[in-house]
Amino acid sequence: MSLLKVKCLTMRFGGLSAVTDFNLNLDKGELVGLIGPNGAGKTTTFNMLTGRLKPTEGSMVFGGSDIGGKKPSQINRLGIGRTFQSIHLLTEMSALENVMMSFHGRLKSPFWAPILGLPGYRREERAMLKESYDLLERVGLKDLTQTEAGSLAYGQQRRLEIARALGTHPKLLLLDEPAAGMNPRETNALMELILVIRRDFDLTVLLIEHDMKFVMGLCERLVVLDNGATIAQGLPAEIQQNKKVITAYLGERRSAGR
Amino acid sequence: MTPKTRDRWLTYLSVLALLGILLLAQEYADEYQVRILNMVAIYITLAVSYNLINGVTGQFSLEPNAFVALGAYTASLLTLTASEKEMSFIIDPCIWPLSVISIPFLPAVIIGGLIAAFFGFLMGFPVFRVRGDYLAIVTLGFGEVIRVVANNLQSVTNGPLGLKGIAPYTNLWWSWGLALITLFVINRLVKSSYGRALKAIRQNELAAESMGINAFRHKLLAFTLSAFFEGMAGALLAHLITTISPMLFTFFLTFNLLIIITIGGLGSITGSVLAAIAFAWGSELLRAVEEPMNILGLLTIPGIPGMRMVIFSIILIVVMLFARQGFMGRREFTWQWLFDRMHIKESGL
Repeated sequence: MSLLKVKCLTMRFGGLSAVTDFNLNLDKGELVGLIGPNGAGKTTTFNMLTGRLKPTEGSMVFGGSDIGGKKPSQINRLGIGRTFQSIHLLTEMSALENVMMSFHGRLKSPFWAPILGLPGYRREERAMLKESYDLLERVGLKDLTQTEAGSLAYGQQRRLEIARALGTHPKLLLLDEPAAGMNPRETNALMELILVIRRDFDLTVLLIEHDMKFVMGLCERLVVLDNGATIAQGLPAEIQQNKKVITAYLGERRSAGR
Repeated sequence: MTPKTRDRWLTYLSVLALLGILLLAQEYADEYQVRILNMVAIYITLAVSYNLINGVTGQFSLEPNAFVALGAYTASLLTLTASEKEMSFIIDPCIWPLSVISIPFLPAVIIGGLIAAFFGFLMGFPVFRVRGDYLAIVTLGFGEVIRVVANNLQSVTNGPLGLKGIAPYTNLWWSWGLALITLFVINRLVKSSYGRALKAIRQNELAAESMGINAFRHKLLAFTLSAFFEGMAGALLAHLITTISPMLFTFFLTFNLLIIITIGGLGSITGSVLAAIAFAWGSELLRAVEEPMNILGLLTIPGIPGMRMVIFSIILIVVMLFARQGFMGRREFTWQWLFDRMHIKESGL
């Protein structure tokens, strides 16, 4: 079953085409990697999918509804969660509050409910507190719930971003370089975490990553971008042999045989 | 007893103590002291509600003088009797429905707040399309527009002549009652999930949006709510000083509030309260510097009106240089903090 259908997506900044004619079909439950050299347009694609950028052309249909032109908060509530390449946490808040924040978009109580101390709001607050603790435990931050997000270590911040994205109850999770800045041990733990949360939360995952071991070991399918154009799609093994991909990454033949 | 229930009881007790002080002031304090206490309460209301949008939500806006004016004019026009209005509107008579309406104080105050909130709500739509410096300039313009309209809408506001003979309904119970309600409402809101969302918007709007928080709607909420309380404070202010004119609601009013919330710490409710008290009280104490002064019989300085503002500006500069976060930063005063301090002192002995 198709969850996300992207057709002919194009983003132009003035004369520069950051992404040209991008097509993608994601089925429910898939784990797909989006790779390519720096500046290939991967993050731009994510920004279009999450509503941060309005595509110049093309259509994006998610779970039956057209998400082109919708606001980031609306797209998030439809079920697309994301993490950022440059971490965007609420640095002055505790890890717990960061995760609790992700439940706010679905809060049913109006703003005057907490002012009057209505029981409906208290119930919701308790529920989000409990679920936030659970999520933090899942990503391995159980002992750091009260720590200010800004003072967590880099790898912990990345995992907190994942917990926060999960808190919005996404159907599709977009991870932008989740392993950046992690050591091999942390990277392995992250691979495991992604597989576990995909199973337990019934997720479809699309991720951007430069760590080839990570991508090849984790993803079932890869899409390769170069200069905004899709140059290859397929199984990891096929992509590794693909001439165009090797050229894009390593340049012409001379350097290919290093 | 858990710390939470302890803190709650301590808060109740301090409110009771405050009411006791007010009762004593009502009985024994002279008119001048009562007036200062009233001004302190009104400044607390204004500062705490202004802080909601400027400090907590981090949207630097410069319009509270507009909302105070809206509340003050609305409530005053509603409480003045028909004959009083006929007497003061000497250039243009007051337009029809307003000229005959005269209602009690409480509904007039609430309607004053609602009118300010309504304008705040409408204004929020264009205003929150911009951020940062642009937001400041747009809201500053709005504040000026309201003042200029008040100056020229002769048949509604009586123009530059202003409104006179407003009944002095505002007493300590009204002013401190509103201050306590404002504190209660805004404190509860800030501590709730909505308050966290407002802080999230201040810290990182992009992250907030990507977590499904509609930043625009939350800014509008904070803005409208602060307009509501500022409007009611304006209504009380009008019925305290009994004479209002457009000159009262210039940018200086906003500037004073900005000094208060900056010195108190942007985003800190208790900081705003402390700074409001210090400001309202301090500006009375500093009246001395505007009087002619005689230093040791050698030198005579004539009274310079406006010297107080110079001193406040110097204080603001010093605070910005040495404590950029203000008294409290973004922290709040908590009972726990007080206990910790006492504990440290005990164990230190």
